[in-house]
Amino acid sequence: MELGLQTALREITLVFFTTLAPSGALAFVLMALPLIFGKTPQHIRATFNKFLCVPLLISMVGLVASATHLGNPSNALYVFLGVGQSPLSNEVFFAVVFLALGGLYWLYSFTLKPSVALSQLWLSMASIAALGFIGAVCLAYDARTVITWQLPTGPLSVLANALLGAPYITLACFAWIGEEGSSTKYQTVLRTLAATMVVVNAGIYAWQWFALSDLANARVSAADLVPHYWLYWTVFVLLEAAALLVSRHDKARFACCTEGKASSSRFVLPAKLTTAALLSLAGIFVMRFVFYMMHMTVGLGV
Amino acid sequence: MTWVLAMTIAKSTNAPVAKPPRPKTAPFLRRALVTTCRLRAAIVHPRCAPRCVLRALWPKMRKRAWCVDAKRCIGCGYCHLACPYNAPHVDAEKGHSVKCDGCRDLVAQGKTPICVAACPARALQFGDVDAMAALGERADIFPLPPADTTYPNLFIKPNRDMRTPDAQDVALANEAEVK
Repeated sequence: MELGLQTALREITLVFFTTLAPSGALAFVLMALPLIFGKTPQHIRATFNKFLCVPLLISMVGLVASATHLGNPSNALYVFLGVGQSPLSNEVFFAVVFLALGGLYWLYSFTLKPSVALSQLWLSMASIAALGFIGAVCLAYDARTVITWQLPTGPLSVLANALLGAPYITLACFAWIGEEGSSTKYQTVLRTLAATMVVVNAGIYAWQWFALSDLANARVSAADLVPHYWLYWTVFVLLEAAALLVSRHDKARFACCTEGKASSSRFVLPAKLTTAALLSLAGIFVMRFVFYMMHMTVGLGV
Repeated sequence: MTWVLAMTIAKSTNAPVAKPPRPKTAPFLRRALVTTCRLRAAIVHPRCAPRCVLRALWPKMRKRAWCVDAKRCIGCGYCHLACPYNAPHVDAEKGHSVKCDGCRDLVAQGKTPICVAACPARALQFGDVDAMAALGERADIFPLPPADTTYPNLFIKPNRDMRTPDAQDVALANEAEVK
């Protein structure tokens, strides 16, 4: 227990990184999709573009958090020497490309008459980089000697976490944008995706526990590193269930807020969805913490 | 019960190896016992090196030792996370990863690593892989990781009284000693 807790606390910045960055990157893609494929009027595109900074900011906070655990960040440019060979270099490379493309697009969107075709191309490239980044994060923990991270649940959980957190962030942004945010159909798809991913994530983490129970090295068994695994799992499920409940679609209130009536109730839905996003990210954080707690090598390293 | 090991550390080299020289130490000394050993094995293909985002663990391979290049290392600690020997760790003051380099400066001068010279029981030896392989088996012994996973250039001659953890014919007399 203590060993696992020590590892997770030592790598707490990476817990933040893996919680925020993949969800933020996928939220960027989900927000960009209507702009890439939809026929959105120019003034709505402008509003949309402003809110694209939210997922970018979330990803950036994650990346900055991960950078704080570096002993000597001044050497960070050497990271790019390992692109294509080191999974971690690939991760950083895609993160930088995604944030650079996304950030520059966001700045470009403030021009008086941004080209729609160029915007779509730019967003497509940034979205591909974002997907590449999520893939790179999934593969970054594939270390042959770290037997607990070599389980199939390792990359699967990162992907499933992103698919769980991103819809809430996207829905919250849409709610703040208002009625013009996106079609109701698209929002329903996002809500369904989030609800489905709660079940999928819970299943992956249950599977992870059964896979852990067989693993041990000379010092400790994997199960001993996370003795209260089911407690963490329950907290995760409760937080995600709370997020689902809070984000329930209330048509009457949504109509109220989108009619633009000057009342405090127009902030209810955005506030609810923002709370849902925070609850969901909190749930993901708990299980990412567990992921680092269960770090165990094939040998003496825990 | 105490785990006892007699071990040799081999240099990592691909050069043709001459016939192993006859050990100068007496056989009983070569089998001398060490009760504690922090293993810093020279690994042919270290598992931490591919984890290194900077290849900071690679450049010194020509000098027969896997070393940390302090000018490149960013101190991310992934090598520490991946190492099954718990060997490298990030020195907070220095800001980069540190690990045993097998005393490569001494070795370059034709001397042995300091641990070999200092061992009062003469339980350690350092030499070319083939020479060391003749003295023991590639380290595949509790509590080390399986040799086929790490393929270490570390050869160990176990004490004849050594037992595996699941041995039923012995009892643990002092549990605190092995923790």
